[in-house]
Amino acid sequence: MTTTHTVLIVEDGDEYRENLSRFVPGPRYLQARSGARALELLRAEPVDLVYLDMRFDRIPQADLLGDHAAATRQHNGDPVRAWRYLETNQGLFVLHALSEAGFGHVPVILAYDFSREAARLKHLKARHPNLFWVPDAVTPEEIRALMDQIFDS
Amino acid sequence: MRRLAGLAVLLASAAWAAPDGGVPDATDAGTPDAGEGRPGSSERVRELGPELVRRAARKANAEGRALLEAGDPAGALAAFKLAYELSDQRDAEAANNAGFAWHKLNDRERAREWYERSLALDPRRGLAWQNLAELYSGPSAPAEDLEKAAAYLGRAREFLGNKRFVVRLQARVAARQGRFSEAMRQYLAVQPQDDALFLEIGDFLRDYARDDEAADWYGRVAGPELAGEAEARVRKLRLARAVAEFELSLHTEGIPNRARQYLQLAGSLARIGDRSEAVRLLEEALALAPLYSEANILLGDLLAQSEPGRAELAWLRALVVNGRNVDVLVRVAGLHLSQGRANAAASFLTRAVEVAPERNDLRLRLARAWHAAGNVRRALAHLETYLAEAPEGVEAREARALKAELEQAAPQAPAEPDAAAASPAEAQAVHRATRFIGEGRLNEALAELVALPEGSRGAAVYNLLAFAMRRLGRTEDAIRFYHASLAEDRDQPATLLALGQLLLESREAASGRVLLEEAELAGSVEASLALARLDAIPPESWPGIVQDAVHLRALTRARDRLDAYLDATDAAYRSDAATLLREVRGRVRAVWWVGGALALGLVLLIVGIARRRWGGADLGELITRFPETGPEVQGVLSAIRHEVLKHNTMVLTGLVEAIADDEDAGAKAAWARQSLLGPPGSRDRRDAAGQRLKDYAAELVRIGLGQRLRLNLRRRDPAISALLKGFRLLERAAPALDRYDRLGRGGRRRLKRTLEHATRLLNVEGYEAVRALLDRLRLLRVDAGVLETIYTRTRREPAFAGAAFAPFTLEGGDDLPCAVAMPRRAFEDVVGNLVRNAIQASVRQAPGRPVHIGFAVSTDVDFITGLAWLALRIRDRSPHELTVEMLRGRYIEEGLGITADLVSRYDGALDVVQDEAPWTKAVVVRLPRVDDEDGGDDA
Repeated sequence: MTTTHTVLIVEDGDEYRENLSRFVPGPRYLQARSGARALELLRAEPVDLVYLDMRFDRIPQADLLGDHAAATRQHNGDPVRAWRYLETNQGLFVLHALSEAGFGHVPVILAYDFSREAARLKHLKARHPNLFWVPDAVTPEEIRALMDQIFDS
Repeated sequence: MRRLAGLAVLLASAAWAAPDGGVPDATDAGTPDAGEGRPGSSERVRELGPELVRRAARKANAEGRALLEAGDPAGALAAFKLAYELSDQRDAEAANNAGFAWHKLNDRERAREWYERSLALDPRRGLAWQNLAELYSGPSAPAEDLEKAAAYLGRAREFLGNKRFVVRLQARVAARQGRFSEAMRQYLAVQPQDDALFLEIGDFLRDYARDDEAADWYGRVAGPELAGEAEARVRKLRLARAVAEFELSLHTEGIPNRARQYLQLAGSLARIGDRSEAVRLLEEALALAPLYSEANILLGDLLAQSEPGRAELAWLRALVVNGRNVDVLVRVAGLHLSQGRANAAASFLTRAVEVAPERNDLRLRLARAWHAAGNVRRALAHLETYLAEAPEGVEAREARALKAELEQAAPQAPAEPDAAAASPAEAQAVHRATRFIGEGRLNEALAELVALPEGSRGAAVYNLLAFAMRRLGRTEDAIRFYHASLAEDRDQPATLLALGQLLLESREAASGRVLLEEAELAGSVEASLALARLDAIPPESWPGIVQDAVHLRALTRARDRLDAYLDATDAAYRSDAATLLREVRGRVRAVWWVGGALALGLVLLIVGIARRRWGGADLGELITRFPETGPEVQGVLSAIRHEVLKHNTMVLTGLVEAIADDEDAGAKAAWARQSLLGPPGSRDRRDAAGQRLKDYAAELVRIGLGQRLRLNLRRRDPAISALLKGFRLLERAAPALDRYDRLGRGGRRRLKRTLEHATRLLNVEGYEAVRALLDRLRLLRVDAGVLETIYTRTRREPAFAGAAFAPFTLEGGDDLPCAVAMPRRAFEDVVGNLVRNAIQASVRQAPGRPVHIGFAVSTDVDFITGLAWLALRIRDRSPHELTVEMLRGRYIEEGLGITADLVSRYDGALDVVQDEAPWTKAVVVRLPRVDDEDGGDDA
């Protein structure tokens, strides 16, 4: 790993920024707390890797990406559940937005455990070939190794 | 007064002549001066001439003395005053005599005034000094008066010489002043000496505790008049110790062994109720030893009810051997009383009281016997004595009531002496002393006892002395005498009892108890009662039940003793004992009840604590029993996974790695501490992972309580307990994290081990358990069979009996089987309700025609999220309109309303679509699909 790599962390808090900067030092870390901000940063400077959180339940609902009306229809007309759906899967809406915005080539590590959802991962990988994931219980060493693998490829 | 009137006549006739001398001063001669007489007479008296006046004054003085001797001090006073006036107030003798008359009239002040008037006229008048001294040495004279009296006697002695009365009075005054040597010197100077003086000197020496010398002076009394009194005082001087116990041990010497064995066997048989055989054996024993007391006593006991005549004979035989056996005396008395022979009963009881005066209960028995015999005076006397010593209780109240009744019947009179005792010297003294004690004449009783020579005082004497001392309130002396008595003879149950009770009163509880127990062993039933009372002493402090519980054994002992006491034939305080027994039984019962209740409560409490600590359910049980809680539980578990575990894995493993590599671990430790447990010293830990875990755990507990199920996440749930335990470990490691830089190598090693342990708990055990639980929550395998079963069950419902149904059809079966995130029951409810609704619509629309219901399944995948839904369509051919709003708004058939809720709860959706012919429409249920690696929950 070289110090020139830039990693954009997209999360609703500061945990990944705090933890990665401490326990996986090396890359330069940027942080965005919403999909829109992530796109701004991507447009502003080159990013080698996006480290993406899945669940965004600590940012304003207005900052969430995704079609709330469609989600409401999907959820029996329940707007509350629709918001929850958007929060719970916000990482994938951000991923979709990045792809739609032309940043589909940027590798993404999604912090979500797909070990029990192989079909879903398959579907997502088909759409986002540069998608990687780490389980919830991941060590700095494993993250570092994955980053090295991505940067080297 | 008539004589004074005559004197006046004499004066009037001037023919009055007065003899010389006077009382008490026979040697004094008045001054023949004329003086002021009575109003209206002085002038006439003066006219009589000095000689006539002097003679008249002497005559008046002599008349006064005669009146004094005749016991008329008032008349004498008038005469002495006349003499004094006739002497023109110059007659010192008349003034002295007037003072003496005032003294006789008990006017001490005027007597002093006249004596002093006399001495003012004649300071050398010894008799006036003597009278004045006597006035100041009265029985209640204070010290200053005695001092004056001593001084006046000194003056009297100057003028009267060694006059006997003066010397004796000097001795008495000195004795009262505490001047022993002076008093003794004066007594020895009194001449002549006589028996009365010897007696007085003896008293003086006795009062100064010189008993031997006093006895010597008493011994000088020779005349018959005072000899008896002197002897009595000698006896009193020897007063020392008291004893009340005359109990004699039964003589068993010379009793054949076989007779003893018969007695022993008879006793055993009597205890088990075989009276006839016991009597037979006793008769055998008595045939061998006719005067075997114990056998006679037991025989009497056994025959008392059935053959009172024989019983009496047996007891009397026992008394032949030992006439002082109080128990037997009481038995015989009881027998007589029951046979209506009250006088005989009183006689035996009188004897019993003589023998055992310390047995106060005997006095009550005796009083009752006398009452029955009609002798009120004697009954009252014994009641009085009894009540002076009786403990408060039923017996005492009854005794008081009887006394009051008898007092109304007859005026109170002193008790008559009891019958005389036997002849031996000690017995006579004891008998007399006993009688005196019975009459409350303690001093005389003591005198009788001390009259005995030292060597001849046995236990009985000491017992009486102790008893008397006790009555006098001299407890220590009483105890000493009781000990002396027991030193003479230890086999005295009553003495042991009395001493034990005395020691208890003297707050020597331990010693007292030992003696009472010894008395009980020696056969004293009253000792049993005393011990029972001791054990049943009411609790001193609130709550009494606690005291009773602490002393339950003592209470139980008291109960047993009281039971035995009430069965004893010679129990004296039966009513008291019965009352106490009731109370003790009640207290024992209360202790058992309360103790039982407390024990039960304690057991329940322990069970409750154990259930609270180790009982309760885990999350698996919650979602099994209440599948509807699944979505909520799933939400919380997902949040735990996301917020608690996800970040902490990196922190903990990163910190462990840093410690191992020794790379900037201090800063990482500080960060770990803050992110996992909150900032050091801060109470705001809302953002700390540990606090969030606790909050989520509380949320899960709340979900459980919503179903009335108590979750024990800390101990029973494999997922949450591992997480909580992991965070507890971290909390214990917090101090080490805070001062990581100051930790030594060992400390860092220990911290690393702790962190590794916590990591295992949190990120391996806890994480895997949470994930497994989440898997359990969302898996239900759906296949064609499930759908057909639901369809078949629904169409067979009674409401659809008679309707014809087309066969089950399913389109899109390739998508099955699949797993959905919904519990089986919820799935069946949803599908069943939709099928029922479709059937109802079809039947209503075309009655009598076959009902066609079709199923079609497909899978919808969300393009963005990759989430998949199983879309189940339930088709019908009814033209009846149905909209999504009607479904969600519950406008449709009853029973379908919950369907929308159920579907929503499990993140599904309901829709209505137009379907291709021959179908008219289809209700579409969309449910989240999950990967089915483990097969799911088979239908």
